[in-house]
Amino acid sequence: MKHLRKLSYPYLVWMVLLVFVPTLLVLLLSVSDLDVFNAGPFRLTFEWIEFLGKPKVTNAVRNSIYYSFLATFFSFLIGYPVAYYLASLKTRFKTFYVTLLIIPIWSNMLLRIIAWEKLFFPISILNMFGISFDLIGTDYAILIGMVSMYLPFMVLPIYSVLEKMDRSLVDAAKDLGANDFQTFYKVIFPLSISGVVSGTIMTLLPAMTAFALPERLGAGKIQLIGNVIEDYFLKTNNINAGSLISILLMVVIVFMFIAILRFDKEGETLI
Amino acid sequence: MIDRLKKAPFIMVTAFSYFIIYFPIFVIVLLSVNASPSGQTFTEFSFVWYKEIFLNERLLTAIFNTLLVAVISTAVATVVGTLTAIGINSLTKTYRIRFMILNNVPVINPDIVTGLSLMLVFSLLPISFGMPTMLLAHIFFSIPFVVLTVLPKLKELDPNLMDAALDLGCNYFEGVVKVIIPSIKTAIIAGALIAFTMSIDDFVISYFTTGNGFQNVSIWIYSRLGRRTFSPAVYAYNTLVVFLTIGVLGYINVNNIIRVKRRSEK
Amino acid sequence: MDKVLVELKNIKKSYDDTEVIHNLSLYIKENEFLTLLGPSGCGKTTLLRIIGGFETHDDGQVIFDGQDMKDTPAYQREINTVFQNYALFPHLNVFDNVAFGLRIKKLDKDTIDTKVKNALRLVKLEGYEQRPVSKMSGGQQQRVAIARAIVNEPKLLLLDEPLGSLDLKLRQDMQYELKEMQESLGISFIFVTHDQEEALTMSDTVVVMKDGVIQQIGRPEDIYNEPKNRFTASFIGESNIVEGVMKEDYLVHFEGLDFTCVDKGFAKNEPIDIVIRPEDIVLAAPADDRINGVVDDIIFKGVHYEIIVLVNGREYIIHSTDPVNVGDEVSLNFDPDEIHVMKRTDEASS
Repeated sequence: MKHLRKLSYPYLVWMVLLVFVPTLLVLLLSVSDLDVFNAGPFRLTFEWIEFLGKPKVTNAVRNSIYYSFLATFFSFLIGYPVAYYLASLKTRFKTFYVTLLIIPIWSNMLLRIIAWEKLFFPISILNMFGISFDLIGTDYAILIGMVSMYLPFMVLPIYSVLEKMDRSLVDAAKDLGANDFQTFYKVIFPLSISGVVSGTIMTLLPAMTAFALPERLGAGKIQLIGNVIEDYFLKTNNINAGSLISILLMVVIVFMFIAILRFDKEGETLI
Repeated sequence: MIDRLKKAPFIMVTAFSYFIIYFPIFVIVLLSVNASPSGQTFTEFSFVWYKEIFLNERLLTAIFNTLLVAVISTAVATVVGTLTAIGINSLTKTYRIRFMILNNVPVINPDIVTGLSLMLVFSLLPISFGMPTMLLAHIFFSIPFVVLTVLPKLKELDPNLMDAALDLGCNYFEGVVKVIIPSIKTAIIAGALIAFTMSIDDFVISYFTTGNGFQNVSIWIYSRLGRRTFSPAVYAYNTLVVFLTIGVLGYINVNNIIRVKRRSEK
Repeated sequence: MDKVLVELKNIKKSYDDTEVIHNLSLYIKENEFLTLLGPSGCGKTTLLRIIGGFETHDDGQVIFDGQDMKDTPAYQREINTVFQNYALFPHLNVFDNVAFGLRIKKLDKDTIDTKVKNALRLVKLEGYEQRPVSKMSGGQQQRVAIARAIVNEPKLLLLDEPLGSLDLKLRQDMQYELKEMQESLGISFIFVTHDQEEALTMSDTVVVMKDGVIQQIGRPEDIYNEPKNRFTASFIGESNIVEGVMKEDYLVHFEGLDFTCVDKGFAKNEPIDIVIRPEDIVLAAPADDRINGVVDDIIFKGVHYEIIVLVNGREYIIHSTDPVNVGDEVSLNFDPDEIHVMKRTDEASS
């Protein structure tokens, strides 16, 4: 088998180049006036730090935390029972129901956001069913949109852990006198924690960094950190300040990685 | 697991989640057969936007670009990802775990971080932004998914399988091609399917790594949001993609059910 | 039967910093059934894999049929292997699994057909050609694995605990079949197992290993009757091992008494270990010049009773067809040639 190890080496080089080099670049850009597109002499500077104090940025950070935590919380609240119910099904259509959760991913996310956007205006296509919402630009709009987009990412990892769980453990718990509720919180839930951690992270991070969703459903009034990064990197071309702000994100991501590593070393719950 | 608990609340929550996930898709389907260009109200049932897909040249190009990038990146990612997974599987446990941490970086990283990272690296390379950079980016984020799909299947295989192939006269290349790859065929197909999906659906990473006017469908949509050039034909395109997916997955599923049934009857 | 087929000279092998095989030398003759016997982690499987070419040794030589195998990869050796858990190719049916090696050698279709048929007949699996291997029982899978190996007509067949996952009855049947197969094929087998009964039943030669070192090589009878040390004695069959002193040739002292024995050649008053097999001890009424004790337990084992007698706080195991009662006072009786004296090894009593 040892001879086969070589097969993994090219990818290792590729990953190191495309993961570590940009991370170092971001760090360098955030403390210098380097222009990546016309690389030349540059000097170190801390002038970008003042951007962190701008209301645009502080608001975005606050909004990112607020919306992503709420959306993740609601996704978990809904997603766990769904995963639990699907895993407990004994019908042969079980995989079909699970597949149904994946199908929406084939539908373009931007279009799904646009669909919600159109519904949240008082005058919408829903009027023909006698329904009218006026939610555009509210917290509800953003949270409904986020849960709708990211709920499958919460359900699937939890489902896959519950599905693989040895059913005799549940029988054993009951045999030892645990009632349904005790069986759940003493046996089933602790054993599904790796799925919960993966699901939480797979929901939290995209929600925190979304930019098309808050822009459309927030009617341009609500900005998340993703909007600020998009703005600095692609619109106002202030890549150095953008890099500094993305370091904030990277710190969060590092903590998420540590959390995932504690529960699922090889990432088996990620898909 | 659930027999003695009351089923009803679970069914309600599950129904509600399917509803909230599928509702926008239902609306997209509705908009695709709505004659109104603004989509604000339902004016008249019409297939006009389905015809429009083939008349809107910019949209057609975007669809073509999406498929082109998806097909090439899937092919490359499937080959590289499978071979890499075989390599990772033969590492010792410590190195395998370290390797997988690296592999999972693009999976866990939010798209925007992957996108801006790749944009920065590509800016240092002597290639112009556009199709090549977007393709490289898609290969980059697809490989980890192939590795993640193939590796668990490899771990299930008898650890002596490769040795058995060598024992019977295969060299290393023949062993991989004649024994290992056929044994994990289903996982490779699943990995390719996931890679294809991720590529077709991607917006954020493509958005950060494209340039010189090269647009896939997502970028086409984003650049036209709230503008007159936005054509509801894209709703029609999306509806076709979803129904095609349902068809393909349904076919696989039904086939599986029939196979399981036939086996149990035997 | 006399020509040497494989010779291992001073083989050394380490993983990381632990040496798993220490300077090991061994030879296997043509047409010999040799068993590597030892507890898990003793290096037996590693040794087998070195012979097969799946591991490279750090030092020493593997000489196969007169040639050093140093630069011969596994796929060029005239050796085939039956793997632990069989390693059958899951995507191929029985026929294609067995035909695999022949197809790699690019033999013509008719020859392959004939050879596969013959191999399947030999393992009694005719008619199963088109079965997927996943639909076969453990015993059948094992036969496929054997057929897949022997169809290539190797000079040497390596078997890595192939009977480990079979149930008792099937395992016993397979032991005889394997021995028969080895004799009719006229090739050498190297068989790895941790099951001493398996080793004693089938082998021409048994190699007892521990911690990468050969403890004893010999015919099954010799290994059982004349264990060279405490480890072999306790690993092969049940035994009573007692420390004693060799007073002079043919006179041994243990449990406070002198006994005549048939061993000689030790130093005067050399501390030694004594082994007495449970079936060699006969219980009788207590007597002054005998080892006396009290029956502590008696367990019915089917063919015999296993009786535990406590002597000065030490347990003796006795196999007897006559029952006794717990609490009975008894004496232990054995003939001089049933006392087997071994050199003292410095390991703690196991």
